[in-house]
Amino acid sequence: MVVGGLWLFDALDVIDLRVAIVLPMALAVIGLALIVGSFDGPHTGLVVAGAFVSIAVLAVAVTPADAFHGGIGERNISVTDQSTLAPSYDVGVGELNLDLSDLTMTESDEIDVTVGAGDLTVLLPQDVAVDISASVGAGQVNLLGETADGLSVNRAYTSDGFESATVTLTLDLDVAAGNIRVER
Amino acid sequence: MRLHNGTLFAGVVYLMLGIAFALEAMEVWAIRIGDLRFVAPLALVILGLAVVIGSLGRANRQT
Repeated sequence: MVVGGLWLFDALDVIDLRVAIVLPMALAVIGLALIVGSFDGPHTGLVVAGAFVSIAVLAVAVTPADAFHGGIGERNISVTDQSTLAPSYDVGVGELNLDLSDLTMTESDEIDVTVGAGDLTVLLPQDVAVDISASVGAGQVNLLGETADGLSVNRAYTSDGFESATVTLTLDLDVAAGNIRVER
Repeated sequence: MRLHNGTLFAGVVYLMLGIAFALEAMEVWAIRIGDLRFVAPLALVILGLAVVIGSLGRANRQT
């Protein structure tokens, strides 16, 4: 009844339903049903259903909203001309190798790179000041040889003289589950 | 009617998780993956409360 009602409101554009909202609400409804039902004995089936919904809620909660855009597979991207440099690169599940080592830059730029589940490797351009922000939900970050791993790993690196440099590169790297490796 | 502690415990945990993550999805607050380390100890606290409340209920019925 609750799910049907929400679905109806969504179809009528009264509310904007997202999985990240629907699943926790379904879990809360299951919880309420169990609390009320606990006065009437055990409800094993509903408890098991709640366990599965809980796992789904946690999985959805820790996954960035755009983590699984960009498809599945291995992508090897090499950019040498700044005019062909995209503002963002995405892979849903797989591996993304972004080779900027031969990139010639004439002006400052920013790139967002996202991998849902898998490995992300970035080779930095030579002699360009960089500001890197790297986040991994679960896995490892290796920023120019300095590694950190675990859950919710956030690391940053800024080149010496970044603020005064005329040409800079800002990288925002995000992997939900997997590894980030940045090398120069 | 006989209160079933395990079902009550599961219900309270699911309700709290559901509300917490629904509010997170609505951007009322933010839950980071590192915050999930609080789930197990909180569940233990709620389990303890359920046991205490259940035993108090049984004690009241016996008197």
